[in-house]
Amino acid sequence: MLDIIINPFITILLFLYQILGGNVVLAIVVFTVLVRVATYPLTIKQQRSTKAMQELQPELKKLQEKYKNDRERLAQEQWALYRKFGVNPFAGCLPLLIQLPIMLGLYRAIVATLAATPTQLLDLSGRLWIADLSSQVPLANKFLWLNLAVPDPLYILPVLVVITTWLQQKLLMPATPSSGGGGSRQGDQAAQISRQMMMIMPLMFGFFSLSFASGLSIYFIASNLIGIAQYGMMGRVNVKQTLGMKSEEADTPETPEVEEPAAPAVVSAAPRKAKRTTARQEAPKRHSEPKLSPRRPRSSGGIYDSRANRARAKNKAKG
Amino acid sequence: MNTSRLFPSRSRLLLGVLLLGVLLLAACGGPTQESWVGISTDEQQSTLYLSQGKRVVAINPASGAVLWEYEDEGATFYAVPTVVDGTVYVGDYSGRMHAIDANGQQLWRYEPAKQAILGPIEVTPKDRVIGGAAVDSDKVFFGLGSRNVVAVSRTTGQEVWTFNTNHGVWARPLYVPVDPSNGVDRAVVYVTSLDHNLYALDAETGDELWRKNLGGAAPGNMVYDPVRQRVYVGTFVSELLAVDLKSHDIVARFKTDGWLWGSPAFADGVLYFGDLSGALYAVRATEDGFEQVWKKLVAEDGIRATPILTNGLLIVASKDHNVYAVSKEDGAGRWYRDAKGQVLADLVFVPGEAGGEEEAGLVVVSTDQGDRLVVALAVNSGEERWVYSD
Repeated sequence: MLDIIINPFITILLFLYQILGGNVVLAIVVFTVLVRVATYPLTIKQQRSTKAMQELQPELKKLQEKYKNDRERLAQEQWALYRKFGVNPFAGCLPLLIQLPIMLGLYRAIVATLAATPTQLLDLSGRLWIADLSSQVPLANKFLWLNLAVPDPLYILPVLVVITTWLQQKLLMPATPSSGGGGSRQGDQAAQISRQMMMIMPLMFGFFSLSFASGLSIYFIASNLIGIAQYGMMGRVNVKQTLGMKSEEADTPETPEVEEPAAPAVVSAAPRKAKRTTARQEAPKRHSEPKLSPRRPRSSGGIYDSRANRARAKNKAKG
Repeated sequence: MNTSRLFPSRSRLLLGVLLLGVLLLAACGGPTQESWVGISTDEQQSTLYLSQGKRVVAINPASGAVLWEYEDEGATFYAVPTVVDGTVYVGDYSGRMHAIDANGQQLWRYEPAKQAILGPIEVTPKDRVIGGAAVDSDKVFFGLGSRNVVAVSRTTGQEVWTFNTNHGVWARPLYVPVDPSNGVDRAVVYVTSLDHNLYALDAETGDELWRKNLGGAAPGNMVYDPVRQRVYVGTFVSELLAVDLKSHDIVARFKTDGWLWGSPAFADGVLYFGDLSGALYAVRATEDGFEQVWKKLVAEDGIRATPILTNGLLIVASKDHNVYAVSKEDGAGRWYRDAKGQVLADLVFVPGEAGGEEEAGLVVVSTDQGDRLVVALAVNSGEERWVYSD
């Protein structure tokens, strides 16, 4: 079934390789950029969904406190809250699930065109939509000190993969409000999982880089850097947080940006670690009811915002 | 529905999704095996040699009984074993070459030398030996999967020379000895590469004599025509080429439907070969070029394996699991047999004993199924005679 994705991807990758003068790294990078641009609407949608969920966190926490001994009722109230504000808690996963086969297709296309083994090269047969591109098969495997068909013997690429994956996750980690000391156990668990993810994911991709063709590591690094650049262009990268610096907004409670948390990473919408939590606690009011406040400016559109706005207007009218 | 129990937190849900993604990444990583079985016989066709995974195995072709097994720690074998004077030369997926005696004992093992890859930093290159080896009186020549051709001493395994190519050499090098009767005054090693070139190298020194761009990757073995002093080679631009070794020119081209990987079987001036679209061809090589004798679409999937010619039959096998026997005269079908697995490795013919039950001999195929790794079929009927399991 993935052939629907893999075959055009292989064709495009070989085409790029041809027009870029046989520069395999450039072809992989340009290809990654194109895929990132094509999936940009999905990325945005996922972010908005995650953000909408974040905005409901204070309310959800209240519910968790209120119904901590009645899980059935808690679930009912949570769903009622979601309905009230027009938020689908699973909507953020759908774009991710759509992107998953695209990522797999990209991965397979790169592995197939590098053709490190006979079965990979054989697998390439019949996949090209443009027969003339057969002359480009397989991609050149030499770049600097690297043989792109085997892992990097100097371990430079695996290290770069770990660093860029970690950096991307760290930069995109949402600046969610703290639980204010009264945070639920669930929230703490989520934060713990989030921290674990931030360790596991870079190491896992680092392990892939140690085991697979280094051409794939080039893709991982390019994808991470492009991801960071993409979020950076959206103004949602929190550099100070990444560097462990106290953010300005924590010291200046009136700064409106605080109410616009950094875009969440794909992996988590969980509260940050304790150090940042302490900083946030200095401005508890902003976080106690930030998202439902009628004063709060809405900078982004989309289905979640418009629905939430309608619900707010309705509530306001009711008094 | 109590979703809070199903998904206690959003982070866990996302964690689950990501883990699923990782699993898919692992599961959807394309072909699970790196290659197919390497299979060959000795010069007398009295013993079968098999390289698969961690072992090289010698098998009695009449019965399928194992004669010996060779293992070397950490070695993975898929390259076709080359047998000369009772010694088996086979490369592994760590870029090493093994010489094994007639009893399955290691004579020597070649280890790739460290290479400077970034300034003074030297590492042992990670590479694979994918194709078979060529052997002369004192050297063994073989290609590496990512690039380069290596010549090592036949007696010690010490490196004699290395020639740099720009991509992998997956085909067996072709060694052409000095032959004054055919105007060959210097021993030459011919090598085809995935970098599109055919290289002619001095067998003694490894110096490049000349090269010819074939227009596409050439992963399959060449066929040598000593009379015309030509080599025939298939490419991934779906062409069978004839390269004149004297003029260094491509003197004939034959266009096929699919990529060419398996090398042709050559008899009486006719080349028989299949392509990766499943078509089978008989093409006559003439002074003026190629001339199609017949063409048949026989298989539902690609033909990677080199066919064999025997008893007036052309026997081929396909990725579609079937072994086909057709008339070499017109391609008319004679029999076919389901091998119950993809057949990608070259076929091997084992002659039968005169007056014996299998006088016409056996055709030995290997599949990608562990329980049917090697299957021996009667040449005349396609009846299964024995099976070797992993």
